[in-house]
Amino acid sequence: MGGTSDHIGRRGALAIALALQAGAFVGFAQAHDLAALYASSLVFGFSYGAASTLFPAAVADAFGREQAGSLAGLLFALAGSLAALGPLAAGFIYDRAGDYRLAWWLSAACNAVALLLLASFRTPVPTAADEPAVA
Amino acid sequence: MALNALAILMRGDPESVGLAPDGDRAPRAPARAGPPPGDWTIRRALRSRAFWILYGVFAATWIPVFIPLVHLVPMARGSASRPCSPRRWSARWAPPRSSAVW
Repeated sequence: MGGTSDHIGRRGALAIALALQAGAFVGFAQAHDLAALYASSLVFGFSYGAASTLFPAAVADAFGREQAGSLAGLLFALAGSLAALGPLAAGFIYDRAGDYRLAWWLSAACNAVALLLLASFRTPVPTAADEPAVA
Repeated sequence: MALNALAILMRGDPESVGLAPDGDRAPRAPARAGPPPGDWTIRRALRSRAFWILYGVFAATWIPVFIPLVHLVPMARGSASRPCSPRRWSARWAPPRSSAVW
């Protein structure tokens, strides 16, 4: 996906990764046998690997390489910590519903939200107000 | 400790050794004070709408991302009798008495 993102841009490549991840979650929800689970797991693993490497690249493209490491670290620290909520919520849903289907559908919905937000993302252009004051 | 020691040898950017990304040859950038044109400071980035949209994308992507890692194996085992809620984790992961060998 790195090579793909070099050609079509980080946003497009990230959109593909998120769509694949949503598809994997739908696959989990619909899987009735082990083969379907394996197939969905492969798609999920690919999309997870792609998304986790494309995010820092997208940050670097948007805000420049000088602070990309700090900004990507900040992003992972702020938003990544929310990842702890997912497994807890899925366990709660399993206890209430007796299966994981709702958890997988909600996971796919999260990816759909991410895709919608990504569609509104534009590479920022610094304005005069953003420029540091010159003494 | 070894990794921390090795970090001393790491370079912050390829330009500092006369290279471009991916090992391409590049002319050495002139000495400069402050970020190059097009680079943002952290403060400016945090004030931008784009950063917080990226934050939203990342958060919405990452909230469910570890669910398969935690729950897929019990699901694959077809374990309707193996709930995975945090309330029951302690009981679930506690070693059975018979297997405890001291």
